[in-house]
Amino acid sequence: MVVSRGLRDAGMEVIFGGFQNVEQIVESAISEDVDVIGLSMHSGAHLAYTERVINLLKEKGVKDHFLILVGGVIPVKDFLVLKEMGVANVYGPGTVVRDIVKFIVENIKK
Amino acid sequence: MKRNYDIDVLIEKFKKKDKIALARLITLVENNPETTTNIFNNFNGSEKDSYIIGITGSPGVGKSTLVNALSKILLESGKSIGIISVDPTSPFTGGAFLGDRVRMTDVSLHPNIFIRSLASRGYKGGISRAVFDISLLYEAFGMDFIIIETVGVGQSEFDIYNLAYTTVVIMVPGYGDSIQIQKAGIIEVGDIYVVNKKDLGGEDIVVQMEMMLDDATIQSGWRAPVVMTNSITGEGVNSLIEKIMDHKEHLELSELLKEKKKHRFAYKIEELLSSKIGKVLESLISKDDLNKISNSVLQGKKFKIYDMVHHLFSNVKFEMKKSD
Amino acid sequence: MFDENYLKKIKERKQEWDKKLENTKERDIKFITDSGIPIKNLYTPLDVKSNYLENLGFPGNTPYTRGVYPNMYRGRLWTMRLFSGHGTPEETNKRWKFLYSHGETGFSAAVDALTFNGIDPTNPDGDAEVGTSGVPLYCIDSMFALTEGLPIDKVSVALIVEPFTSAPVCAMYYNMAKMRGLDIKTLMGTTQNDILTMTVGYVPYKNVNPYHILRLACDLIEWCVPQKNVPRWHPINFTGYNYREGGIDAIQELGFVFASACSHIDNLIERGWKVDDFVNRLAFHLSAHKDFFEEIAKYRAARRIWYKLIKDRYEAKNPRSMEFRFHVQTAGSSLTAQSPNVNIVRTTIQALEAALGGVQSLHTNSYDEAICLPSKEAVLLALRTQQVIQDETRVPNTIDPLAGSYFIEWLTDELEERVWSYIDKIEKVGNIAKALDTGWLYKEMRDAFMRRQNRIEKGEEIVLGVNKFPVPYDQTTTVFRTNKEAVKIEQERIINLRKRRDNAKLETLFDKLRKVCEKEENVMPIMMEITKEGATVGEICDVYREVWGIWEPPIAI
Repeated sequence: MVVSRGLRDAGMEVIFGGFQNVEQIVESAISEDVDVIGLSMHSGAHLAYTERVINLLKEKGVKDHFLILVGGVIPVKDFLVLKEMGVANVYGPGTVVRDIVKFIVENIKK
Repeated sequence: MKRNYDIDVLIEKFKKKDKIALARLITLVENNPETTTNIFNNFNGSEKDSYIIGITGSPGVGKSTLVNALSKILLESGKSIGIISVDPTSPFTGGAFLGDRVRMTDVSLHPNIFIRSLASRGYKGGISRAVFDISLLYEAFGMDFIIIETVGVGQSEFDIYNLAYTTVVIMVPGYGDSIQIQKAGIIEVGDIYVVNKKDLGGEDIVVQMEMMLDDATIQSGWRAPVVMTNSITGEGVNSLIEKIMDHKEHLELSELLKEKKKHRFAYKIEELLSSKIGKVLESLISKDDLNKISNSVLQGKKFKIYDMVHHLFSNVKFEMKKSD
Repeated sequence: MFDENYLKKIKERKQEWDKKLENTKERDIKFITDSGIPIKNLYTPLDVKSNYLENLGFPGNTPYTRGVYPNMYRGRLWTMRLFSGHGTPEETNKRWKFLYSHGETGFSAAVDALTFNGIDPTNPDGDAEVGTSGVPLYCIDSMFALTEGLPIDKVSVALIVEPFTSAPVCAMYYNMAKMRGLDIKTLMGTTQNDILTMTVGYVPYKNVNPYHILRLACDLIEWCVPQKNVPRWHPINFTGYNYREGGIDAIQELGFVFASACSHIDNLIERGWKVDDFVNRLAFHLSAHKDFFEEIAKYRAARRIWYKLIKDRYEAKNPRSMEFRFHVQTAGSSLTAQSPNVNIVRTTIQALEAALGGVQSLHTNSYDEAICLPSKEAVLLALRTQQVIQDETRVPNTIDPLAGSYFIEWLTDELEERVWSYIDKIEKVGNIAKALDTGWLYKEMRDAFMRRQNRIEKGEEIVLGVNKFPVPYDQTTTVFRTNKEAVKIEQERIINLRKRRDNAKLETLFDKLRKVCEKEENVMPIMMEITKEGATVGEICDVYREVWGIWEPPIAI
C-alpha cells in the first residue's frame, strides 16, 4: 500500500487490486490496459503465484505488454528465479519507493 | 514491452468482441483524442443503443459495492454491462488511486462485463470527454447497460446527468444527513435516491428525503423514489433495479428518453465546438497580446479589463463557409 | 515524591549546571522518542510528579505500575513462547517438540493465510499458500496432529487466529482436548481473536463486516469466561503488536488496544454480564520496538491506564479485574534482510525491554525473519536469547528494576497522558467497529506508515545496513522453505475427512448454524457440535459470508 501511495504521489495512476486471485489480477491488468503489474507477496508463496500470473498472461498472449514487478518478503536467492520467469525487477524488504518510480519511468516507454 | 495499438487490427478484434481490443481502444481514445474520429468511423451503421445509468455519491457511501450487487443481478438476467468508474486525481501530483475494482471482484470475471477505471483529471479535453468516448465505445461493443460511477454531485467537474439517462444518488445514514440533503441541487439531480445502510439506522433520512421530494416541483412527471439498500448483503438491490426499470419505462413512454439522448449529444457537440473554437482563438490571438492585457491590468488598469478583452476580440472574425 | 526545600536546592544547582552547558554543542539530530516525545538532556527529581503510593505502589497491588504479581519473576519467569507454524500440523508438531526439548515453556500456533481467512486448501483461490506462512488448521484432525505427544494439559497453547475464524478453530481445539480426555475447564491457553489484526493489520480476504467480527470475538469471550466453559483460557489478546508493525507509534499502539478493549467490554455488558465476570481474562499483546526506554515506560503506563480504565470507567469491584497481563513480540519490522546477523543484536535488546517492563510471555524473532519463515537453527538462537536473559544476566532477580529512574518515571507519566488523549480521539469517532468501517483507523495507519517511511527515506530514522552503512541483501543465510507437498497432504486430509464424516447429519447442523447467524446468537455452542462432526473452517466461514455478506475494507492509500 505504501508503494501504491508512493507511485500515486509520483504522478502515476494506480489501480489497487487488493487481495485478488490470479484470474482477477490478469483480468484487471487487461481491462485497465495498464503499463505495469505490481505483485506484492509476504506469505512465502511468491514463486508459485508469480508463475501462475505469468502463465496466464502468456496463455492470453499478452505477457509482453506489461512490465511485471514483484515485491515483498522475498529472499534474494529468489530474485533470479523470478527474473527468469519474466519479472522485470524484484524489490525486497527495505526498498525505497523512489527506486521503483525510477525503474518504471526508465523502463516503461520502450 | 511490446504493445500493438494498430487501429485496424484492434477494430477487427473489437468487432469479434475481444476485450483486449476494447481495453486498448479505450487507452487510445483516452490518451490520443486525435484517433477518435478514425476509430468511431469504423462503427457507422451500428444501431446499438445502450441504456446509461449514472451512479453518484460521496466517497465511502458504498457505490462500488452497490454497482457490484446491481451488476450481478443484471448479468444473471443475461444483460451485458460496461462500467466506467471515475476516481479523483490528486490536484498536487497528478497521480490517482483507483480502488473501486477491489469491490467488484464478484463480477469482474464474468464474460459479459467490462470494468474500466478512470482518473478524473489529466485527459486532454477533460474527464467528460473521456467518459463520453468510452461510453460510445461500449455502445459499439454492444453493451446493454452502461454504468458510470462518480464521486460527488454538482461539485465534480463533470456532471453525470449530462450523460446518463437515469441518475442514482447514493447516501449513507450518519453524520450530516441533513447537510447531504441540503447540498445545492441534490433534489434536482437524482432520478432515484438510495440510502445505503451499512449496519443500523437510515430510516430517518428516508423520511426526510421523502418529505423534501414531495415538496419539490415535479416537471417531468416523475417523482424520484427513495430506496433503502444494504450493498453488503444485497438487500434492496432488486427493488433498486425495479425503480431503474420503472424510470426507464417512464422515459420511454413519455418520449423523455429521446430528450435525454439529444441532451447527451448536444452537450457533447457544444463541448467539441468550444474546444475547436478555443484552438482557433489560440492560433489567432498571440500570447503577447494576452500578456499586454495582463501587464496593463497590473499597471493600474484593472477596471479596463472588460474593455481591453472586448477590443482584442473585436478583431477576430469567424465566418461560416458556404456549403454546396 | 521529594521534600520541597530539597527540591528547591536541586533546582538551584540545576540552573548552575545548565549554564555550564551553554558553551557545549549537541549533535545535529532530533532528541525525541520514537513516538515524537521531546527528550531532555537530563532528568532529575524535579521531573518526577508521581506520588509513590498513588501512582507506583507495590507489585501485585493497585495501580499495578510495578507489575501485576507480588513476586513477579522471583516466583515464576515469563513464558518463553515462540510463535511458530509451517507446512503441515505434523511438521509444526515436530518443531514444537524441538523447541520444548530445548526449554520453551509455552506453545504458539502461527496459522497460514488460508486458515486466517477461512478458506479450505481445496479452494483454488489460495491453494498456493497452504502452509507457506504458518500451519494449516482446517479441521479437528489437524488439531490432533498438531498437539500429538505434547503436554497441553500443563503447557499453555496460543492459537493465533482472529475473530473471523476463532470460533471454529477454538472449537476444534477444545473438542480435540475433550476427546484426549482432558477437562477443558482447566485448559490453559490464549486465542488472539483480535478484530484490528485482521482489518488494519493485514488486508483481509473475503471476511465479513466489523460489526459481525466484533460480535464473533465477543461470542468466544462470553462462551469461555462468563459462561465458564473454558474459564482459564484467555479468549482474546488485543494485539497492538500487529498494527505497530504497520508503522504506528507506541502511543497509538496503546490507544488502539484500549479503545478496542472498551468496545468488547461494552458489547459483553450489553449482553448482560458484569465487568468482573470476564475482564480478568482479557489479555494483551504488545510490541517491543526500537526505542529502549520508551517501550519500557509503555508497559508500565499500560498497566496503570488499564487499572484506571477498569476501575473508574467500568467500576469494577474485584482488583484482579484491573490487572494488565501481556505478551510481547520483538519488532519484526526492525529486522533487515541486508544483515541478518545484526537482527540477533536488535532482538536481544528488544527482549530486554520486555523483561525490564514486566512481561508475562515473550516471543523473540529469529534473525532470518526478514527473509523467510524461521529455520530450526535461527529459532533455537531466538529461544537462547531469552534464556540468556533469564538464566545468565540476573535481570529477573528484582522486580521493576528501573522504577525510580527520574527519566523512566517521567516518561511513564508522559506516555500515560498522551495515550489518554489518543483514546479520546478514537472514541470521538465511535466504537472500534465504527472507527474501522468509516475508514478512520485506516487513515491513521496510512499516515503513520507514511511518516515512518519518510523518516527512513530521509535518514532521520536510522536502519543500519539500509540507510546507514548500506550493504546488499545477505546471500549467505540458508533460506528455510516450507514443504511444497503441504497442499497435497492437506487436500487429502480434507477429502478423507469428507468421506468419513456423516454428511447428512452435518447438513442439519449447517442449517442450524445458518439460523444462529441470522439471529445473531452466540455461535460457540453450535460450533462445538459442528466441528466435532468434521465441519471445516472454510465451510463454516462460507456460511458467515452467505448470511452476512463480504466486507471490503475502506483502505486508505
